[in-house]
Amino acid sequence: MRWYERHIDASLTRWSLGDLSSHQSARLLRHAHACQRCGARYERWAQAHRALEGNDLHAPSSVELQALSLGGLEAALAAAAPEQASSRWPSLALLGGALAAVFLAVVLVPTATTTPGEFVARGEGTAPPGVALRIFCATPGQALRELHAGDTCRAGAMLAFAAGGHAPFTHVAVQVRGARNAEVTAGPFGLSGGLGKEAPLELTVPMPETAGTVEVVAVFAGSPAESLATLRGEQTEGTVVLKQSVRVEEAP
Amino acid sequence: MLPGTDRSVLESFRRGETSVLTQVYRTYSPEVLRYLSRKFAVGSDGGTRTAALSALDLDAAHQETFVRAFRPNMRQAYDGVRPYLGFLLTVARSTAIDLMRASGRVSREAVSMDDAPELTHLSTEARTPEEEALSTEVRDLVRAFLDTLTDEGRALAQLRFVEGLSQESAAQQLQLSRGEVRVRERRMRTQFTEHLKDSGWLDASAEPGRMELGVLLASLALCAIGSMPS
Repeated sequence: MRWYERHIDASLTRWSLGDLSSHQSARLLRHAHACQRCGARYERWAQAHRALEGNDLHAPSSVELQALSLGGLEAALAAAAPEQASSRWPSLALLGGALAAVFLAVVLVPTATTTPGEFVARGEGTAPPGVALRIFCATPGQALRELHAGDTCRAGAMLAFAAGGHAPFTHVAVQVRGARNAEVTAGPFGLSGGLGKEAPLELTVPMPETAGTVEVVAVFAGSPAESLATLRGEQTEGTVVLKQSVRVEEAP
Repeated sequence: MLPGTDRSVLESFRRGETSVLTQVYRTYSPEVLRYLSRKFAVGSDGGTRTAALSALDLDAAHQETFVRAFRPNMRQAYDGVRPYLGFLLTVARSTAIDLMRASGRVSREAVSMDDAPELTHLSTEARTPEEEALSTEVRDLVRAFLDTLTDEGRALAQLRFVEGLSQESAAQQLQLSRGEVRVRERRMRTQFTEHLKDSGWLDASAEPGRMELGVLLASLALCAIGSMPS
């Protein structure tokens, strides 16, 4: 499965063969939740496989059980992360004060030095240091296009993402507000590449069908739990929040 | 090794060790999915009825159940005495009702009938007309697919999908090797996906409003026929 594929059709075929990895299962389900078309297809697909296995239509099929089990483990472990961090890295508490000061500076610098609501892609040479989020617009029949500040993406297209970062940032959680589904929250995703080597995130978000503005918020943190907590509005130290607005233009 | 079976495992679980949490997740995930896919009896001022999660809601509820259960405060809340599955299913039920409330499937005031044992004798298995219609439609679809198979193919589908036999057991019954069964099953699943696409099943929009209207019109027509003087 190519990470910038728009919909889940190809994945559904592999889903029915039990060929999807846990990441691919999670991505398929995330996309189905966010995309009305794909959500309806997934429901019909699941019903047909339930019937094929002779089940009641409310009883999940064997392939469904497999995909749902695979897809949910990462999120479940992320929810448990705060306790893990404190038990595995007790020395972190001792360094907390010093790190907090550095991290707080990192958090505050972008809002003080960048244009509100925008940042420069890749993050090189610009605040904030250490992390970068790249946003792409995938329009049917056209090449994938990176969105820089002020760029527009057509209504009905898809947004795709890539992210990278250096230590201590290890995870990023993404929230898209104003998309076809009012709010999409995804991640936390592990950061596998540094600056200039941003890796694609297993996330695509459909744009609304009408003109307007979509806001992308990305929270970079040193743990999955911190990134999610910041996204929820909780006070956390050492996270970096990036925001970028994408203008939605009417399709011709 | 699961919490509730060994004190040291319980301590590891409470500390949130990834290996133990992964083991717990893999052990109980199928049970939680089966529990969440049942119908829930819910009651409100308007009476009692049943509600079930859709296939996509099932994913959300399953994931949210473990997210809630694995949070530090919930791990500490488990006493290690009662079976952990019971604890987990209580979280699952609460999650399912919350999700159905949030999606508008049940009213915000609705309560789970599992919390009111005196009412649990109410039937929860009755199907709505919409569910009956959908069930008939999808079973016709599957029957049409099975009709396209050879006798051997139908026998394999019966053993693997309907009776749920392992590939080894199915191979023994069909006097095939396990490899042959695996290849034939894979081919059959591919054929089924083609059948779903070709039949237009995936493109038909599942609009409940339209379906309800159809059922309503059919009911009115039946009532009208029934009331005609003979």
